[in-house]
Amino acid sequence: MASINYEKLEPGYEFPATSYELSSSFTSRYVKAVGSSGNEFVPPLAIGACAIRALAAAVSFPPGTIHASQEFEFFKLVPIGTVINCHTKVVRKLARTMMRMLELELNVFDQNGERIQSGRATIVLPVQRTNAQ
Amino acid sequence: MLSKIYKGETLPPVIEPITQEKINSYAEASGDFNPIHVDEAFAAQTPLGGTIAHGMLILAYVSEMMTQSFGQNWGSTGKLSIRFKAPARPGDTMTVTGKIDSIEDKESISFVNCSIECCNQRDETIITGEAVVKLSPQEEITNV
Repeated sequence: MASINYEKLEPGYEFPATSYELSSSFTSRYVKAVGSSGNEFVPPLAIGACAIRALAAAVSFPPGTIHASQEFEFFKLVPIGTVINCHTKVVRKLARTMMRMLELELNVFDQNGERIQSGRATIVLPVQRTNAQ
Repeated sequence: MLSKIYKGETLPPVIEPITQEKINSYAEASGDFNPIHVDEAFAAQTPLGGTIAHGMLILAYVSEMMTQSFGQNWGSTGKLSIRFKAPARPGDTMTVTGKIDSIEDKESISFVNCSIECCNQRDETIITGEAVVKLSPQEEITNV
């Protein structure tokens, strides 16, 4: 997927949707990494991680970008093997002297088009310094 | 799972030490290889002074506490809103705690509102926030 720069993003911009299969290997890697109690369903934050990953693939965030706040709402349990589609939209963009920020809306659907998760992420990007003579 | 659900009840805490190995494992699992998490030389040059854990890794511990307390209701009806207040670093130990602040009944459904906090071993707040879980009538709710 071609990535887009922060400078080109505007409120309302929708990133191309991204699909992931929540395979058993992905789920076991995730469960092992976070030490969570696994079962036949995918941990809800594993789905959130896919949505964030889709976003990171779509935008060329500078190194040092960090997460400032996060909201999630879960609508149903998601079995292992489900294919999800992640949709992300820019809600707000703020650029100040010392800070650049993006607020993004995330929506995740299953292969039947049912919404399984939604959320909002606020991320803070480092200010790009230039070497003035 | 909680045997009784009532206002003021504290949720069983989740305690997790943070190591660079865990951060690297999370990067592998999630595909998030931002160098602020995995490149110690790069991170040392930033204002953060070293690598930090992914915010989503710390959130996974919050989600684990909610799952342990509310079972599958969390994954099917949960709502989470958090703010990252400070970074979690390798060597830190995260303690995630929660408390039931209120229970609201609307049309035969109970909305359990919890406050959430995650602190490190120096009692510095890493995350604060709120979580809501919807419970069906058969769940045992005690009004205190």
